[in-house]
Amino acid sequence: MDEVQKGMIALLPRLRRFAFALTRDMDQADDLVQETCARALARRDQWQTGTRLDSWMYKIAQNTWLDQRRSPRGRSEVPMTPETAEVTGADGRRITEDRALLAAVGRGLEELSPEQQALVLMVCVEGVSYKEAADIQGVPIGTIMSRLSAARKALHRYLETGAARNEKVR
Amino acid sequence: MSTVTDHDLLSWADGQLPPEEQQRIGALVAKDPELRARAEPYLKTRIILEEAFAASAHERVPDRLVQLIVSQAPVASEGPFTFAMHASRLAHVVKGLFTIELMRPAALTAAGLAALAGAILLLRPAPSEADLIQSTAEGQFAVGVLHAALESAHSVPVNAALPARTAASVANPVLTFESKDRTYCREYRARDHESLAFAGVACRLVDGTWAIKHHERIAGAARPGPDGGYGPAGSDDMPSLDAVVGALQASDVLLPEDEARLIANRWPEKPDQTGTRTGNE
Repeated sequence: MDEVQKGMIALLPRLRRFAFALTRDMDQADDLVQETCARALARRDQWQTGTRLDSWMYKIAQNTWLDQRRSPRGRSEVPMTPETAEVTGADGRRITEDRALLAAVGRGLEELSPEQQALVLMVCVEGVSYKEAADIQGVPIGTIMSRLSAARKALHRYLETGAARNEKVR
Repeated sequence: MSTVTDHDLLSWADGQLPPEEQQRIGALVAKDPELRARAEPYLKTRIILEEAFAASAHERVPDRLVQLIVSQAPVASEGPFTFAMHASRLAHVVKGLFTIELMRPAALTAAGLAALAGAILLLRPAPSEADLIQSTAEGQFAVGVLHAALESAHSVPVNAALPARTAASVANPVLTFESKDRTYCREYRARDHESLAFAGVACRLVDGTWAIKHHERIAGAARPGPDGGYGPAGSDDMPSLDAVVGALQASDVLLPEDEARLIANRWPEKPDQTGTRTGNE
């Protein structure tokens, strides 16, 4: 294995967390991570030595997920494998315990645009800096902050009132 | 006094400001209920999101994902890569601030830096004083770069495990095996901050520490060869090390992909270690 492969393996737990936050489903999360890794391996010549491997992988994960959201066929095409069942078994208990919180957060996130969801999750869950988020989403840092601010206010409002606002925040 | 904008409060809640600015905004928020109310959506959403998804990073990574990466042919690559700071520790600190006493940005920054330092230590050898091993009443344990290497580095060939000269201490595992008492053990090579070379074996305990089973100075390593290597006195010449490995070893040396799987899963405990036998022995 080379350095990139080792780096990708080390990133797997974080990529899976990001993918789970995006999909809220462990099987779909693993399918997303698998597709992300496959794409990354196929285009590894595009990754520049010395730059952040994690940012590059988050970007691929985000774009893969956005692609899947746009194409309804995307998700069902990926086959299930036995390993994923294992993940939601005994080891999945901690996730199950948080199901109520997860459900509420998931509904709140669905009020946001897909791009906003990805942004909020990469910053809040993955600790990606605004600068990296700007690179990942290909917009200026000021735009990132405006999007984040709007999305976080909307999500907070949703979680506080327990009800969706009538329009989606853009 | 300058106005505090929403972007200031957002950046503050996310710990994205430079330390002085982080401190300044934190102090203002602490004094002003109106600012606190405006910062609340940012802080709360961060805490809730972190909380909701934290557990998923501790799930077992499916083999197929590791296999997908491992099965690719390696490509020659040079130079280190860097990782972003891990979010969870920072967020937990934010949570503590929020529930106990709202504003302690200095503590947040310090803990954030500590987390960052920990992450760097894991990935890159750094100089340190008593750098490889710590002796306690319970025995000797790997610390610093040695601990980091045993925990998360992949094995390298013995002849590549010891760089000629290092400004800082360095450690590399050379092989991994299962021991008779059902722990994972790794043989390593290491150089301390005085550039003395060592070879040894350590086994991972359930609490995540690596107990040193053997640690010896490599004879002849003080005389670097013409190519800068440490000469021919490598693994061939360490009968006591070989004896310790032989006595511990219950399995063959693990294959790179098995090793990668263990590292990716942070050395999962085997059923026998936790007392729930699978009964298929």
